[in-house]
Amino acid sequence: MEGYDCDFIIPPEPRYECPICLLVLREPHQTKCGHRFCKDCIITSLRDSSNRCPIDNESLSESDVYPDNFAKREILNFSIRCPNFKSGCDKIIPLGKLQNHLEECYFALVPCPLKCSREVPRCDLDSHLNNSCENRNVTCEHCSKNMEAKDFEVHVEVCPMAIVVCSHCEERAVRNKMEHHIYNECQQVMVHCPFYFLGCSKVMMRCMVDDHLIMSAPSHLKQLCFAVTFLAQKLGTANSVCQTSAKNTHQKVSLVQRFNAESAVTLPVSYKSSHSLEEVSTNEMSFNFEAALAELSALSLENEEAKGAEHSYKLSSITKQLPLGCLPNGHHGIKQPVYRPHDWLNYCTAEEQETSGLPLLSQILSTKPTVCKLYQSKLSPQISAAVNHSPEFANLLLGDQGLGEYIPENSDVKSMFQEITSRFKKREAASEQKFDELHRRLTAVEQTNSGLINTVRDLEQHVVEASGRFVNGDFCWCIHNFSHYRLKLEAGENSMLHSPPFYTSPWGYKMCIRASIDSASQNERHLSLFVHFMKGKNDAFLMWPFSGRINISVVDQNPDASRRNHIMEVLETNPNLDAFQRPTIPRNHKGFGYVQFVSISALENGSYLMDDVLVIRTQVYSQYQ
Amino acid sequence: MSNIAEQRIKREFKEVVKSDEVALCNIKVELVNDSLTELRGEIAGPPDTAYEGGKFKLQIKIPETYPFNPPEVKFVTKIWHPNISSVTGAICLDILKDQWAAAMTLRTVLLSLQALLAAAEPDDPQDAVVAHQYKENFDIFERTARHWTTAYAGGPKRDTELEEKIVSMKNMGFDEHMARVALSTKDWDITRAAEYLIS
Repeated sequence: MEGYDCDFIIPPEPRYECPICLLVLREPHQTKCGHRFCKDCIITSLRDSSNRCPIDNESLSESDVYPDNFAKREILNFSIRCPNFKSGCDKIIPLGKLQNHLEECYFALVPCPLKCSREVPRCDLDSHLNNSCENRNVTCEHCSKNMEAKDFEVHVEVCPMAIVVCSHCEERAVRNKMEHHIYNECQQVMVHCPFYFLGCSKVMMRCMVDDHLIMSAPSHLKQLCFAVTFLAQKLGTANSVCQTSAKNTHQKVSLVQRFNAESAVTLPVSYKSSHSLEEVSTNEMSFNFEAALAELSALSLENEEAKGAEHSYKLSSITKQLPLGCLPNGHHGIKQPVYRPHDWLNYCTAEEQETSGLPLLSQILSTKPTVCKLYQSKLSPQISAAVNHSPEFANLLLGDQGLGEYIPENSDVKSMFQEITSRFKKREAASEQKFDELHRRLTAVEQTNSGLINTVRDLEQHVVEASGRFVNGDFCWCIHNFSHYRLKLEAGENSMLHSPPFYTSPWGYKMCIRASIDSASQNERHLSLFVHFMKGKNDAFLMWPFSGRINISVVDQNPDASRRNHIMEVLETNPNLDAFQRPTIPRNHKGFGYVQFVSISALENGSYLMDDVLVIRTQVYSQYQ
Repeated sequence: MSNIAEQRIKREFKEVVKSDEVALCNIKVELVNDSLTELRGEIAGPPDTAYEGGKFKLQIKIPETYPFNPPEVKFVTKIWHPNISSVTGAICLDILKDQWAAAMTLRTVLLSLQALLAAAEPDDPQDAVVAHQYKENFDIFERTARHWTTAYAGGPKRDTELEEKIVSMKNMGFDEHMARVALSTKDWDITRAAEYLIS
């Protein structure tokens, strides 16, 4: 961390200033040569820059730097203005007490303790926590639920205890009671006539239903009469069908037996249903219906083994056909968004019923409310359970063709299925074997391949080495696809590009050129060129450090030779530089050349790039060879 | 830009602006953009030298690691000097390379460059041609350097003889700057300069 950048009441003398960060010394440290720096500044300088004093270039290591507590004490006693001066704090404190002060400064920014990602001045913290923090806890006044403020807005829209106004009659009610109100109580809501399923299509407000029932009693009676007559006829037909099928097909009876327990309907229930019907129907109807029921019960006694299922079969064949015949407009579902008034259907809409799995049953049940209420409660759950886990039974129960058409082929299917399974397993095993073999072969091929790649790489290197050996120090490096490299270099992907190695003479020095793009400035990029010496075969008997002259040029490829203007720089070697020492690694880290040899724009504007090829020529004149 | 580099440049900027040298119009630093990574410097040619009266513009780039690494400085104004490339303006000065120290500032760098103009070091050259001329033919070097100062840095002293040579090269169809470079390189011998340009 660099020095103190505080608002000092009296500007400190320059001797308290760190020469590196130019701020007032933080943790002052003194070097053995007597210079003072911030602790972090001098450590960074020694580690990242050089092992020398930044002032007099004396050689220096981290162990030659000592804390200067005298200066530290003096500096910590300097008076400063609180950094929150602009926010309103007018305290003047010694620098050493700054931290303590900031911990209690009324105007210091502190992070919200509820972690709402905001920082607020300490003096505003209370009001933030009570009024504006999105993470503060709030309690819903309706349902007393606790939640974070940011969730409250959504909650208000859905709170079950909030008071809402009925959209029909403007009555106020708690939200979770509103549904009940609309389906059952609201007098302004539009509903169907209770005789809707018998053919009355009248739609009215709920408050008008009673009047309508009185006014339309004769027509309702007619519809009821028609429906009951139809039901009685159907019962008769069903009876005869059942008798024949029960006698002739033992197979089917045994299938039915499987569901006996689940769907059994006992006689008393049947009687009960007739009894309740009596209450609401005319005597004549009751007579017809009772006759049908008598038949039904006789049948049940006859087929003792299959009584429940048979019974339900008949019932379902009736339930299937009755509504179709009964409804004047002949459709199954109830599409109009109108509420039905029957008590047991009050809570479910037409759409819900259609998806509930038993559309037909529920339809008939709703048609004959009183009778079928009992079936609904006792029989329907069992039937639906049976239907759900056996499609065969459902077919028997509800199928158009009745029992005569049904013959299951279980054993054939089973054997076919087993055969398919075994065939599939065999095939799977064969392909697994094949896959293993292919995998082994692939591994072998990959091994051979990598061996070949290595050989080719060695040979390529050998060729490069050999061709660089006989250039006699005059080496032209053609960078093909320069724009491609340029993009890569500029993106920093491959920060430098090295030429193939070359020798100053067959028995001379080995070196290469390094090119990179200098992007220190955002406005202009430059081509950097350096010469690097490399470990060569002749190093042992050559003179070191290398001494001589090196010309580096970017070759102008203008087709008109008279207008060529090569960019050339002449390097005189400097025996003190690392770049010219005998390489101890394959390529010297240190090179010698120009960070900004030529700007890229100059390259592009001149005729230096032809067909995207840049030619760099190096002529090396060694003093010894 | 790292925090420490940015802080440093801001404070140094104040330092240069306050300093006496600015008051005497000897050195100057300006921002190029808001980023503080690139600055524009200017130094006056030192009195009693071939560069006297010239104003030399410099490009200064501040690296991310400043002040632990030196700023990159080069001459934008063309100059004839053994330690400065006449082609690219690159400077050969130890404190901009391995002798840099973190305590140095833009002010000290600019003053050092001024000192370099006053005292060239031909034994550690950046431009071998100029260095050669400096050592072998100092009079011609000085005349050339003064001519360049007048031509590129607004120096006051015109050398009509040299200018006439450039004009005659221009009449031969050469570009003015190319002609000046060739003549300077070839010690103002028109025949050799023309050969140099044609070869």
